Amino acid sequence: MAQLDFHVNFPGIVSETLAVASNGTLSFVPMSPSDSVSFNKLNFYMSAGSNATFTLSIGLYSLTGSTLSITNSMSRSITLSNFRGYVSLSATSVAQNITPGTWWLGLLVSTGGNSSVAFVGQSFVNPGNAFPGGFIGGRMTDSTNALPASYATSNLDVTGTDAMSVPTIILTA
Amino acid sequence: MNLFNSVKFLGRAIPNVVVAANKGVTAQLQYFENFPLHEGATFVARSNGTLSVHAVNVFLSLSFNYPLVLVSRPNSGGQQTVQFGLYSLNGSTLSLANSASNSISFSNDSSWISMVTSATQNISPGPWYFALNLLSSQTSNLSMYANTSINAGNAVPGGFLMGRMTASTNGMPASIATSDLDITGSDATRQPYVIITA
Repeated sequence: MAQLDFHVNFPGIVSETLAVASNGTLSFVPMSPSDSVSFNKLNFYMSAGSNATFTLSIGLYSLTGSTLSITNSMSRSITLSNFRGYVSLSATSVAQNITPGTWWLGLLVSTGGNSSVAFVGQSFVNPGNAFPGGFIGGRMTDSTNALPASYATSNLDVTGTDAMSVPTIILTA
Repeated sequence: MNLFNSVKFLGRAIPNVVVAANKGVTAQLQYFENFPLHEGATFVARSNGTLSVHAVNVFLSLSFNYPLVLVSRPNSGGQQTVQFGLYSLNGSTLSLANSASNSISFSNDSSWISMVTSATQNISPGPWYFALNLLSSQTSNLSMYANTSINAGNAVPGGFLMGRMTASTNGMPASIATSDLDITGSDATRQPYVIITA
C-alpha cells in the first residue's frame, strides 16, 4: 500500500473565512486520504482578531454505525493578533499511521468567550432541510471543554452552513 | 505488531479507547462528493427530462446507499422527481449499473433530495459516470446546484467526460451511446453537485 507524504482535503486554494468559532462547540469534519499517511502534523488556515487567545484541540475519530470514537488527538494553546495564516499542531497523543478511507476530525476551539477565531475553508451550501443521507459532518449543539471519547452522530446538528462547513486541512508526515 | 494502544489526551489516558492503527480492512469511503470546492457553484435551471452525464473518479470503494443532490424549485407545491443513474463506460457505450430515484413535494426553496437505490452495491474504485434527470409536475423547471462551467467554443475533445441528451426522457436508459450526447457548451457540460453516502 502506498504511503503519502501529505494529505490536503481540497484540490485547490479556498479562501472563505468561515463563521467565528463558538467557544466550546465541537465540530466534526471529514478527512479521506486515498492512501496511508502519518498522523503527524496538522495545519489549518485560520483567522483571528485582536489579541486572540485560545486552545485548539483536534480529535481523530473513526465512525462505526452512528458512533464516532476517538483514536488520537492533538492540542495547542495559541495567542494570535490580527492574524490570517497557517496554524500548526503536532505532538499527537500516540504515533499513528492513518489507513486510507474516511476519518473524522473533531475541531474544538476553547476561547473563554473572549476571542474571535475562525477557520478558513469551504462554506457549505445552506438549504432549508437537514442533510438526509449518511453522516458527512456536523457540530455539537452543547458546549464542551474536552474532546469526548465517543459521540453519537444523531446528537449533532447537520443543518445549514454553520454546522456543515469544512476548513482547509493539511496533514503532513 | 500491537495494533491497539491506549490513547492519551492532554497527557491523560482515555479509557476504553483503542487505536486501530492498521485495521487491515479494505479501504472504504463513508461518503463521496463529485466536487468538494464550490467556488462559482450555483443553482442552475434544468430542462424537464433532459438527462446529463458526467465522469467521476471514485478513489476508494464506496457503498451505494444514499445519492443526494440539491434542488430548488421556482414555485411551491407540485411533485418533483429526481432520477440518478450509475453508469460504466465500455468503448463508447454507457451501461446502467444501478439507479436511484425519489419523488417528493418539498416546501423549502431549496432542499437536499435523498434518493432510494434500486439495488445494493459496493462501488469499486475507478471511473464511473453519474447521470441526473429531473422531472417536475410544475410548468417551470427545477434547478440543481451545479458547478460553474466554461463555455468553450468547441466540443470537449478526447474521451468522453460529460454531456447531455438532446431528447427528453422520463427514465434512465439501460445504455447510452456517448456519440448521441451533446458535449458542447456550458449547459451541456455543467455537473450537478452529487454526494453519495454509505
